This record gives sequence, structure tokens and C-alpha cells, in this order.
Amino acid sequence: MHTITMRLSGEFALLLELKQPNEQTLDATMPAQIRQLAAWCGELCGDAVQEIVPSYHTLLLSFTPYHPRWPAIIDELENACKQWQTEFGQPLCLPGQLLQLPVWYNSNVAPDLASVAHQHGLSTQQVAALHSAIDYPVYAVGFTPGFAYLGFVDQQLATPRHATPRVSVPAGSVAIADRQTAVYPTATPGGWNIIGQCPIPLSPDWCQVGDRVRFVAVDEARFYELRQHPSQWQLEVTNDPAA
Amino acid sequence: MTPLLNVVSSHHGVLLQDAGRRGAQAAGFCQAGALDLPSAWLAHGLVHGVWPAHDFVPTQFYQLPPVIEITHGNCRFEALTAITVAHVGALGPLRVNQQPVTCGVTLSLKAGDVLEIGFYRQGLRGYLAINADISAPRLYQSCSRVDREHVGLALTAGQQLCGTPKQAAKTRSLPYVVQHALLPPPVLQLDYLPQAASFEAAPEQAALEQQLYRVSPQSNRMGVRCTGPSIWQHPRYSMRSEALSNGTIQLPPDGQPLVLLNDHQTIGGYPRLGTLASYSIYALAQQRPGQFIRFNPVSLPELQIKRDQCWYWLWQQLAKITGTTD
Repeated sequence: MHTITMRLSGEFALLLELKQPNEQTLDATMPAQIRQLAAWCGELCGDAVQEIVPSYHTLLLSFTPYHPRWPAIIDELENACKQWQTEFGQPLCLPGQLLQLPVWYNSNVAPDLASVAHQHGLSTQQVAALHSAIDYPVYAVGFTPGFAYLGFVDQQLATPRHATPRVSVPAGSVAIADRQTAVYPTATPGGWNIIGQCPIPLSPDWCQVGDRVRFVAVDEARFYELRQHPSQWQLEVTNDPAA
Repeated sequence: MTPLLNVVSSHHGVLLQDAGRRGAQAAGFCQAGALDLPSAWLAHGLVHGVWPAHDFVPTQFYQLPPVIEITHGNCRFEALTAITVAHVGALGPLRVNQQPVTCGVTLSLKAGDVLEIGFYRQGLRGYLAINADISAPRLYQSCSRVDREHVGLALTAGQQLCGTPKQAAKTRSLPYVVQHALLPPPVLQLDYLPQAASFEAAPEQAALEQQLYRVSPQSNRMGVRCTGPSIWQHPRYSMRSEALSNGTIQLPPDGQPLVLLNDHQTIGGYPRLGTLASYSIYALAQQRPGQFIRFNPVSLPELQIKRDQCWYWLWQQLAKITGTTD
């Protein structure tokens, strides 16, 4: 059973935290629950709320300055959260979308693929197979617009960040940091281990917390074809068994 | 639409800003926007003069039309048509066609006039308002520039700023005492909400409140790094990333507080000691590297009273300069 705690985060902001019995592990249903809580808070607060930002087990609500419902809305939310716990605190009902991304796992475009494989005593093919074997929930979006924190890669792939970040990681890089994975939507500095390259451009709003992402391995020919014609790729998976 | 200004010389601290983006943080865009809103409003009030509404309505201060924010000074603009501008905030040498002019007054420029803003001597950020409807690309209804996100119009050398000029503005000026009231004292007291801490932080907050910090030269629009004695007795390491509010005081493992400003990343994992009041963020934006700051705890009701006083003061000053009330 999850409980919600709430505290002030700023003069017009509250941070909601979904507490689970075991704080050390984060279960895979968390993003979907946070997304559900976000939708629910959005409905409850209406135009009083300006920003709803989910991240892992938390949800930030930033309110419109001087909105007539502030600060009374703090009590409203507190009561509503108690109700949420009894009504929805258990399994979830909003699975989010299943999104798929093509990835070419090859050292020509992924400078850390060989070293990640070597560190874990795997072949590069095994790294690709392990990485593309599971659907990853989106736990948070941030760092840069459209940068989605996906979790959690197989324990065999967990690789710490580089001690010194690269000055620029190319857009489309698929990377691992510890047990998290992500795609860099734009070229930025970054310390994650690059194990593949995604040929299609990602918009800032390509996914939301609670969606799930599947990586589909493609070969060199398909990679360059998709880079030329990204519209050939369908991001949403239509026959999603969880939906 | 008319070309208004040509940017003759510029740097990373010369940015078109309004009140910032709303509703964009879930996609990872920062809030952005003018850091010292009261100074930006006074610059706007001088050239536009339409302020204020007869009643004191603080919500209006959260909708600022675009102005140019300049950090440290040191830039030049050439007027491309007849426009009126005003510079408010940090104080430094201003020249039009190499003749000294003053801050805090309306300046009428003709096409070809060159406005030069020298290095600021007091305060850190100046705001240049232009009596025109500025046209610039918008995202989430805001034209605020963020270099690392590649959003908004970059005011690099050679860039033209376009818009629709308004009627010539009246001559208006801001009293010298008001201009000085916008600048922080040598030791700036910052109000913060200890309630907004992310952990049981009483010992760390007590240490924060006792110590005197300096603004580090490594500060920028993402955050102000404070240098002083380390707060941690036993550093806590990063937790899971959480969404961040503007003004959050983060405490990284080195124990030097980091105060987040408008361009901060949307989520982060350092432990948090509390959140600054908005009016303290505006003041902090003017504190120069090397100058001193202190942290003072406030409750939410106290903060709300002080914030209302800050807006009321601003409303009164705007009413005086624009002359719609007496």
C-alpha cells in the first residue's frame, strides 16, 4: 500500500511523495501510479495549477501565483490524497503508451559499446539483446527537454557514469548510467555510456512519465534508411498487450 | 513589423526575457524569464507608461512583456528607427553616441544612434525596455531565451530585433532613491522557507543561518553558488531526482549551498534545505560575485506579507512614474 506525503516546496508549490513500503527498491508500477496521481491532481486543481512535474516517486505541483484557491487548496489536496490512497492506492489503471525506438547497436556510432561489453564479460550482441529485451517505464523527463529517464536495465548491464563527462554527446545516443537508460534528444554534455544510436529525431514531448519504451535493434542499412526517412518509423506500438 | 535595434556587440549575458514559461517543465524546459522582475517592470513602465491598473493587482506582475536582460553590462545597440528606451536595474556608464546619459530615464534614439552600456559598477543585471511590441519566436507563450535549450531569439552581434514601434513615449524618470532601492546592500539578507527542506535538516539549517556566504563567480542564471564554510557534518549523497522549485537551496556533497534560479534544470537529486522567497530571488539576482549573503528563515504567512509589500512598493513606484495616479 502506498501512502502520500505532502510538503511545501516553494511559496506557491507543493511536492507530493508516494511512499512505498520498501524505500530501497522502486517498483515498476510507480511511474503509472504517479501519472495517474498527476492526472487526478490536474483535474482537482484546474487552472489553479501551472506546472505538474512528475519524477520517480514524486510530483511537483506549482500553482498560479495569487490564485484565489491558494493556500486553501493545500487542505483540499490533503483530504483528497487520503481519499486517493483508499480508492486508487493499490494497482493502477493507466498504463500509458508503449513507444518503440529503433537502435543500431554498433561501435561505429556507439563509442562505449565495446567497453561496456568487455566490463561485463559479454559480447556486443549480448549487450544489444539484453538492452532491447525489456520495455522500460519512463520514470522522469528532465535534464534537457525530452530527456527521459528509463529504468531499469538488466543488472548485467549496470555501468557507472564516466568519471569525466564528454563535452558533447550526439543527439540520438542511447546510453546507460548505472541501471538507468536514456536517449539524448539533443547534443549535450553527458557522462553516460553510449551503447547505440537512434536514427529518428525526438521532439521535447515525445513521451511522458508512465509511458513505456521498447528498443528495437536495427541493422546498418535500416539505420541509414530511417535517418533519411524518419517518418517511416511508427513510434507508437498499436498492438500493446498491456493497454 | 519594423527593425528596431541592431545588436552591435553582445555576449552570453544579453538575453531577451519576459516573465518566463508556464507549463513547460514536465517536458524538461526550464521556467526562464527575467530574474529581477521589479527592475524589469520599472524599465517597462518608463517607456510604456500604461501602468498601473487603478487597483493594486499583484497577479499582473507575473506577465511581463519582453525586455532585454543584461548581465554585467558591456554591450552596444544601434537604433534602426526612432525609438524610446530606458535602462533600469544595475548601474553603470551609459552612452548615446559616446555622450554620457543616465540610467532610469527615457532615452529617445533616432535611427543610427548607438547606445553603449558599459560594465556595471553596482548591481549585476540591467533591463533595457523599448517602446515597441517586440516580435520574437515564442514557445509556451514565452519568448525568453535559454541558450542551452536553443529556444527564444539569441541576441548575438549582428542580430536585429524587430517589432511594432509605439507612439513616442513621454519623458519619464525614476528617482535616484528608487534606483538605489533596487540594488542589494553589501550583506544581503535572503528569506527562505525552511519548511521546504527535503529531509530533517534542523542542524544544517541552523548552520546555514549562522554563516556568511559570498556569491561565487561561477554563478549564472541556472543558480547561485555560495562560498563559505561547509554545512555538512556528514554529507548525504544524492537521492532519487525530484522536480525542483525556483529558489530551491540545494546542498551538494561539498556542503556549499547552491540556490537555483530561473534557468535551473527541472529535476535534480541533491538534498534541499529550503526555498527562497520570490522577492529574495529578485534581490539575489543583483548581488555581484564576491558580495555577501545571509539566509534568514521565514514562515509562509510572513513571506506572503513581505511579498505583498514588495509588489505594493513596485505598484506605487510605477504609479508615480507613469503619472496615472497622484
